[in-house]
Amino acid sequence: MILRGALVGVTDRSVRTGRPEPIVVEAFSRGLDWFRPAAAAYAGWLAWQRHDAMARPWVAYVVVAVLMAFSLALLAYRRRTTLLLGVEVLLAVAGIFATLLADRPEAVASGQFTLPTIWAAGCVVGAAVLHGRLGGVVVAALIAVADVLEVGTPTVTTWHNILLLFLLGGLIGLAVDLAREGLTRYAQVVAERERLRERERLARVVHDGVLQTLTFIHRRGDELGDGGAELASLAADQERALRRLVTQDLTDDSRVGVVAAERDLRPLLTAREADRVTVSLPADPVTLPAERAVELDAAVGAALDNVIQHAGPGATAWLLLEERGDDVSVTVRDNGVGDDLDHLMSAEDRGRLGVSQSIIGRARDLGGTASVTTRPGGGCRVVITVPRREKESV
Amino acid sequence: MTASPPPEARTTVLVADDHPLWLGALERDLVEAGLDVVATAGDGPSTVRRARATRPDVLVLDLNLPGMRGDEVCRALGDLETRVLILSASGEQLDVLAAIKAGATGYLVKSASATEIVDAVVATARGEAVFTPGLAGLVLGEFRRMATAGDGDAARSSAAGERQRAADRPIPELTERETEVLRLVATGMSYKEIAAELVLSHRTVQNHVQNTLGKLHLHNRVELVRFALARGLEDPNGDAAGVGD
Repeated sequence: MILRGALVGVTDRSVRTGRPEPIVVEAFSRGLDWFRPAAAAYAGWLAWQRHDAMARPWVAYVVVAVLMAFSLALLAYRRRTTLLLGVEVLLAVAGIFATLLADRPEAVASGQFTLPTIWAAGCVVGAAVLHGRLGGVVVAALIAVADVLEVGTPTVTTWHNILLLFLLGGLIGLAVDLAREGLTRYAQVVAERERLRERERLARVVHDGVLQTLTFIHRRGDELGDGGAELASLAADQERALRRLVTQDLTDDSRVGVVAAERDLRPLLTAREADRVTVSLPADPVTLPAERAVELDAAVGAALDNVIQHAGPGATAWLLLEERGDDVSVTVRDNGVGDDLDHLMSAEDRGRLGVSQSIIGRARDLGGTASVTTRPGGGCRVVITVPRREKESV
Repeated sequence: MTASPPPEARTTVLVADDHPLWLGALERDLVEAGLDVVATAGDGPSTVRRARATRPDVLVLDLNLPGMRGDEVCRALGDLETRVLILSASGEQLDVLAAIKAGATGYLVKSASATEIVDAVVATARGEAVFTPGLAGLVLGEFRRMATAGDGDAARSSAAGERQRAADRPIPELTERETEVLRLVATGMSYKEIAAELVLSHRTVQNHVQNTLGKLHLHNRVELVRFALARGLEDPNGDAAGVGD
């Protein structure tokens, strides 16, 4: 699952700390494990180089042997604890003070290398990996104190080394802290996402079951007669409301990536569905600039109002949304009493604004057209067609 | 098999629904209307098994069966004579469209009355396409989508080979008449009303509606074969057979 060499990610369970660790922290630990024996070998080589100048070379060899043994043991034993870190720091400090025994005093005073040399830096990094920047800085301070005590009068090189130790402990510790904090956040996000997914799944199951039951009540209620009919219409209302809710949830999801200024017409029109209004839509979103969508929806609303007011009781309306090239068209048809077209269009002269203003006027404002077909007894069909985008005005 | 032998013409129906109440009510309505409900099923796989075993005239299929999606059931039964009528509560549009493309010939929402459902089953058995206004809207939208997607492909691919390939792939189109009829269906008109409005015979209107579904199915099948061929050619065994001779 995790790519070798990748620095971002998480190990399931680290052998070193016994809990999930960021990969970058594991990489630090792995590098450190190989650094220790290498540093011990380097310390041994340096001691051998200057064993003639030493007062007691055997002390140096013993120290290097102990450091190497410890380093190799840590390659086999992978668990890292504070106690083990303590032992490592103790060994480094002991090695530093053993320099006083191995070397002549004048060599020590002139700033000769300590016996562990860079091996001591390993425990600073180890502390930083285990306990973050606080651990790194604390152990850097311990090693620094040991160095200063060993030298007596610190030289410039001593100060340089101390500064490097603090930088090492502080920066690696900081990196580890950041990686661990990122891991915690990541775990939170994953958990939250899982919870959300589960909630969505439950909602789907519940919705489906409840929808089916409501539809069932609706249907059987109608067959029961008086009392049942009331029950049926109640269930039908709830059924519609729930279906709208479910489809809106879905359309919200599919809106990801659509510019916020764009709006899908489908949820707007679905909201107009009612007992006597059926809405037919395409399966894919029909997006328009938001204000155009709202304006078109308002024109559709006006057409439906017209149905309610003039089509007579018992009239049913159907709403069809289509895309036609660069245009979007909404058809509103009813099977009501209809009207004489001239009579309908002259309503404006009689002080009624209805059709001409709120439907045709709105369509014209959007750069489109609205056509009305009606005859007495033949229902009414309004087709509103508007361009998706505003045409460039010349 | 204790029932009296049904008359020749009795329509056989398989009802598939995971909601026991619904299943019972539906079955009762259909039986009362004189249809022969040969089996019922409560999940996708058993629907497919029982349809294969009983080979009914009509399968009344709930869209959200456990185990298999509606379009998967339709596809699995593609080689049978059985006609599929989709009955759905949620009316989840993409699912309906997928099932219709996979071969279903009708769609009805569950809130339809018992009479409407029985009529729809009988019509489906006769081979008629049962369209709701909602389905007509979906099919119109789908043909529009295929047309614009085709344009997009052609516009994007500048290479001559690409253009050739786009030309090889026929995008099904509705005739003006078919679009007109579908539009009227989508705005709630019955076939009879449409026939009167357009001065056509009832049968002609029926044919127009069926043709639109036929084009959708055909396109879907052509796409499936294309997909199968593409996969087959990449199949190492297929390659070996070709190299062998």
